[in-house]
Amino acid sequence: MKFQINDRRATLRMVAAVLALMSVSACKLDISNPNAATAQGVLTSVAGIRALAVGMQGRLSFSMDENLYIPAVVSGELGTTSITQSTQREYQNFPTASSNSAISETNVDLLDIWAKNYGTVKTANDILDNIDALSFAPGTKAGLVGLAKIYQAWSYGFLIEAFEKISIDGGATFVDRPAAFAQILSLLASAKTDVTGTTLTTDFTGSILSPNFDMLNTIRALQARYSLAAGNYADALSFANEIPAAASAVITFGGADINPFNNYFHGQKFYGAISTFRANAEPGDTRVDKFTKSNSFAPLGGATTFETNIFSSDGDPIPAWSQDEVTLIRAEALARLNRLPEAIDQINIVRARASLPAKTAATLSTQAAVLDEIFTQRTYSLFVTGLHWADERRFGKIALAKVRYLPYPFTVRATNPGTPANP
Amino acid sequence: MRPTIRSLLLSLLFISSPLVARAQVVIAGRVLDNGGKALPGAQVLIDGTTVGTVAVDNGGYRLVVNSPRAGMVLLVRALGYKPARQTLTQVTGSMSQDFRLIPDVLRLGEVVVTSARGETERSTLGATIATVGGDEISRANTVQVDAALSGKVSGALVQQMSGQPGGGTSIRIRGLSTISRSAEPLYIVDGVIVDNSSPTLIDVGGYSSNRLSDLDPNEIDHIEIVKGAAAAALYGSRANDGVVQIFTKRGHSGALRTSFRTTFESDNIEHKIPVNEAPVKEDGSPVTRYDYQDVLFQTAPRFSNTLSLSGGDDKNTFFLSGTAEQQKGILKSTDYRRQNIRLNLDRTINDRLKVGVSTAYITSKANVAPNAGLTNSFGLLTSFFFMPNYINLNPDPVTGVYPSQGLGLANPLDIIANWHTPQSIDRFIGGLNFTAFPIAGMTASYRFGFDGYTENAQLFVPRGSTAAQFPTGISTSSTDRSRLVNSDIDVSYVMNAGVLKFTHGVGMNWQRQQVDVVTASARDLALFTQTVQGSQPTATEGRDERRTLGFYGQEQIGVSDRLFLTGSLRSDASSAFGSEVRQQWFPKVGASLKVSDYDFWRGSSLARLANTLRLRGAYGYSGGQPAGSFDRLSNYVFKANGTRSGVINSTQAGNEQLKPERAREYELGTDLEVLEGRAGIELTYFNKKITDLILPKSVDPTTGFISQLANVGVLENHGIEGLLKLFILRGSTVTWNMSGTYATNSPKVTKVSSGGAFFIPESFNIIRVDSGEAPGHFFGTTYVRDASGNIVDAAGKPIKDASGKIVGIPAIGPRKIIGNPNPNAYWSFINDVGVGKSLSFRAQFDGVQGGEIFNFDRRLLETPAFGSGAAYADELNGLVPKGYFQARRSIFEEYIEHQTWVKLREVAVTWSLPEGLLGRLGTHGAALTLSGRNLKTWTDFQGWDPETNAGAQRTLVRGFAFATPPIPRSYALTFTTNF
Repeated sequence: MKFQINDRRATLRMVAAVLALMSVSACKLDISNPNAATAQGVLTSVAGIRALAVGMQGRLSFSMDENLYIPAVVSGELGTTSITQSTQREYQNFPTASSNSAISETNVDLLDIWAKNYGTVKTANDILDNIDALSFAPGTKAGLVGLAKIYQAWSYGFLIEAFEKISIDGGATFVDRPAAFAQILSLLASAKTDVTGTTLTTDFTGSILSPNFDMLNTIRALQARYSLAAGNYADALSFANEIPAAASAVITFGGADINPFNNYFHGQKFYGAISTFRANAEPGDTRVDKFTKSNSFAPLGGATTFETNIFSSDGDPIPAWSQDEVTLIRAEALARLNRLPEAIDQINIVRARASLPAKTAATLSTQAAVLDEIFTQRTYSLFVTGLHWADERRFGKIALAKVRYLPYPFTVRATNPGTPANP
Repeated sequence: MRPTIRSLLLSLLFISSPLVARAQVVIAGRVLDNGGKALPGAQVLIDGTTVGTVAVDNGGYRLVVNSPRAGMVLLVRALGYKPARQTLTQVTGSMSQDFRLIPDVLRLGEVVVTSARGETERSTLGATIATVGGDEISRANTVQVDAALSGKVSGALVQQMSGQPGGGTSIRIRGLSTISRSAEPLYIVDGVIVDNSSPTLIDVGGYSSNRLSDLDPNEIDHIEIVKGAAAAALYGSRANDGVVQIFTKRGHSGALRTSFRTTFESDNIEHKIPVNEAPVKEDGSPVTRYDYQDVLFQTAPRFSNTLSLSGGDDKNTFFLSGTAEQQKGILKSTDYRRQNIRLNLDRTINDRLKVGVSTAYITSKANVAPNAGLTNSFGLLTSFFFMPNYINLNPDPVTGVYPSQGLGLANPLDIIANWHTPQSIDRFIGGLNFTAFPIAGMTASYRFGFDGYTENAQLFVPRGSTAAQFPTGISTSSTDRSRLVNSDIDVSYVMNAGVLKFTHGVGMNWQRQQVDVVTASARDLALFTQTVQGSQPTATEGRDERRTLGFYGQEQIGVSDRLFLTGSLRSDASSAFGSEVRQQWFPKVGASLKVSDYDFWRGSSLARLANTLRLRGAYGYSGGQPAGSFDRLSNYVFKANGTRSGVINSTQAGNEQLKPERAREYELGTDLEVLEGRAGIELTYFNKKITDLILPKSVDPTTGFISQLANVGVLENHGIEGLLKLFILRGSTVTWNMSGTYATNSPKVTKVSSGGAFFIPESFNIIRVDSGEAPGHFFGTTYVRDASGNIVDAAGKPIKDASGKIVGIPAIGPRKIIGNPNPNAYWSFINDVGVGKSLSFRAQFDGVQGGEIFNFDRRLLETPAFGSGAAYADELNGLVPKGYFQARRSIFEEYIEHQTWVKLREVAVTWSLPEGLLGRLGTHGAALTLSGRNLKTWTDFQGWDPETNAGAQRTLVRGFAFATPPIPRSYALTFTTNF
């Protein structure tokens, strides 16, 4: 009998041991990812939305790579130095080709310019869609909302100057230029209401907003830029007139977040300024040496190029817009409104900045001559700002109708049945 | 309260039988084979209880049964023999019972594990389970367990991926079942799920040791390989690539048994690649040429010693074993050391309850050689291929400074002398096992398993190295801390109802895996400092965790012990599955019919033709878990703006619909025993279709995402597996057994995502996946041919003249599919011959049929800029036009070679010491074995070894010959003794 009882005790202890071991294994099957934040964590927290605002600005800085170089190479501001850069060379061959087949749909940078800008759009939407459910100081919220709208509008702007049609609803439909500009201008107008309606907190301006980024004047400058592109000349003029003469805004780099162009222009020497920039310049134009150097790169299968004189360090900022651009928007708006003397006045402001003599109504006697002069001044003032290709189109400087816009990236075509036909 | 809890707990264990005073019966006898030979090690037990013992050297056994009951069955099992049963004829006193076991050529009577603890005889199963005995493993005399399995299992392709010491073996069961995951089977050691990943902590090119290499082959009792759908109930969503269950040796009651085994081995390179011996270089100037294989390779010794002790009484048994392995690699500067200790304890608490503990500790350290590979550009053999062989690599005799290798890569002699790339492991594997027989016919068990290891890998290149990439040196240290836990309950219950026999089974299985990897690196090192200190230090960390909870139910119905029907349903939920599809179901059915047990067969002439005929079939589903534990989630990743830290969505969208890859598999087969048990044939046809393959899918970038992992692909495979066993001679002086395996497979991807064909990352954009093609085929530039098939130059003129001499330079054609690394078939052929009592011989041939290898090595050897291969001498000697090889190096089709090979895998002669001598030595048995491994390879492949692969154990980078050391040829002398 005694043996049997011990037996049972042993059994009991075994059962207890089994139960204890089983309790080690709790049955939770939702494990949070320690390696990255998840949508749940980011979109439903104040800290998450703030971090998104920082990330959104970083995202646009990151997209400046293709946003600057593709239009610059297509429009002949920059040339690739090496025949090995097959991806970039497709853009160089593009404007002279008879069809857009020069750029393959699978060109990696084609996907990049599309995906990076839509990435910024997505992050802006992440902020705009989720901020109302969270509690922010009014002056911080207004800043965040305004900033998201500016960055979204700006990204659409880069896209609509590179592609014939874009989507402003996440891929459901594609719209043409007038609708795209309407959306861009509406976002900017709304942003203006946000940032002027409430005093922005120093919390926002000091620890979220990128340094040296004047929000209100950037809104005005972008309103002027895209009103002009949309053909609303009076609006463009009045927005440009809102901008004080000392205002500026830049995209800032720092730390590991570097301006890629230092490496492209001076490190690996991927790109140089096409020689015509120096050769065709008006004698005495100070912008020539401001933007380029006199040493040329060996033309490895391309045109002769000169080393540029911009972005010579990893931390150099990229201007969001410039006073020269604002002045020339005024000039162009006036010219297109046929207010030629006023337009010439604006042209002369820019010429004076470049140490060039003033033009007169005698030397610029027709609207066409004034516009030509504005195009020339834009060419020299706005070197590698991503605007030159659009300028060529607006001023009618592209001969081949077929190559006015990029083809749609392969991945877009493969995944979105609504993708328009290539231009 | 207490009695209530107690009775509750007791009822949990179904212990409710009344307490009665018990009688005792003592059973004794001998277990012999039908020729009268003693079968030591045969198990004698009372079926369905913990009561049992093992036959000693003369086959004798003595079993004490406390509380015997009428109807109890005495069951005897020995590996390779049909089991025997005898109902107890008395319940008191002593009883004598001898057994004569009949050889079981196809091992149909062997017990195999089909559900977590559901043991069943193989003959009842619809699906095939292969068993490899511990003897077969240790006889192969390999350092690693998995390498020893080569050729032992039909339908499992065992491939050693590198000749570096320390492991790196891949086992692929029934071909490829995935594209994105590891295709290695799931490994279970004594019920503990063990890690067999091949972490590449530091890329040393074409080599990463797989963690199964930590196990000691000497500890293995036997291995069961569960192929395909049969494994579904076992490990549902982790069963797509098959399951390998390893059982280690355990102690048996009786006198202390000691065995000792010592091996001395000598390894060498099997053959060298012919090198360029042209006395001139391109410009015609004379040069001295070297064969650096003579300097880089060495004859490498290996010592291995194992001591094991086992024994116990009728309540407690133990098995204690220790092994020390020490070997040098055939590449200079490489070596490997490993120590294993294992202690297995079993305690019988009472007739109905026993507990077992298994513990193993492993520590190992390998010094490996870095060899470029697919992501890096430095390494020992890399430098060999990327340089002309007329450069004198020896250090300056005065300064000791190593000269540059000429092309910016490191001087290989400098690497041998000064670089360090050690990899070390400390690992503990422990299992706890409770088994209860609460009522007659019922078995309940619980298991807890833990496998934890820390692996560290380092790369140290000192300052002033000859590698242009690291002028100021580099020191990297990466540590992987991995923990696996499993906790399982299984209950099975056998019920007899007339001619029907029901076996019910239910169970639960819980798994948790955690892996943390931390990597630190620095450059610009301080002199003489080997640790990570210097400027530009960087560190990264990644953590991974996954949990899986599974339940299953299984029902087997036996009809008259001739027809068996099995059905099971497994449900798995894993944290790696999308939250919307968390619960996954895997059903399975199987049938087995022993035709030869029916009277119509037994009574007819058919029985003389085939004494056993079994037909079987199975149909079932299993799964393969997503590779990344967090792939289902939409993650937000770091994005800086200037010096501020922000987040943005990852461009890879999450997918809460992410399911396991799902395999549908059916198999049909037959087991046939003919010539009165002298020959056995096992034949199986399998057909596998894996849907929901997880592949990257493009997402409309307009949404802010670019890609997503989704269940989009389909992969199909089918083939046959055959096993033939012949007992040719069974005389008293000479015995001769022959066995062979043969298996085919033909994997084909039948669907990929809408994005179409894609290249596998880190494959030099050569290895591709496309719909309608073999997975991982080679895609590259081709020759241009004219209408009659001649290779032509750019002008369309054949490059060979009428006499067959090369006179032109080939044109480079477009990229096409140029090869397929998946072999069509693989086979083995084994002969065992015994002469008298003391001599035995063994020979094993392994072979692979079909498939191609991309010989990147040969491309480098004949590339003019390096040109150290024999072929390139033709251009220097003016036998082919100048520029021929420069053009040919761009035509990848040229470097696709046939993979087909035959290897003389094992040869062994064993001399068992005569009994007289044993007596004087005081041992029970002793043997001396002279063996050879990988002695000879027959192949058209022109590189070192058609088996090795620069992609190591990666799923799709296979058949890629690039700077991977060959598997050595080994000669070994082994002495084993028991006392």
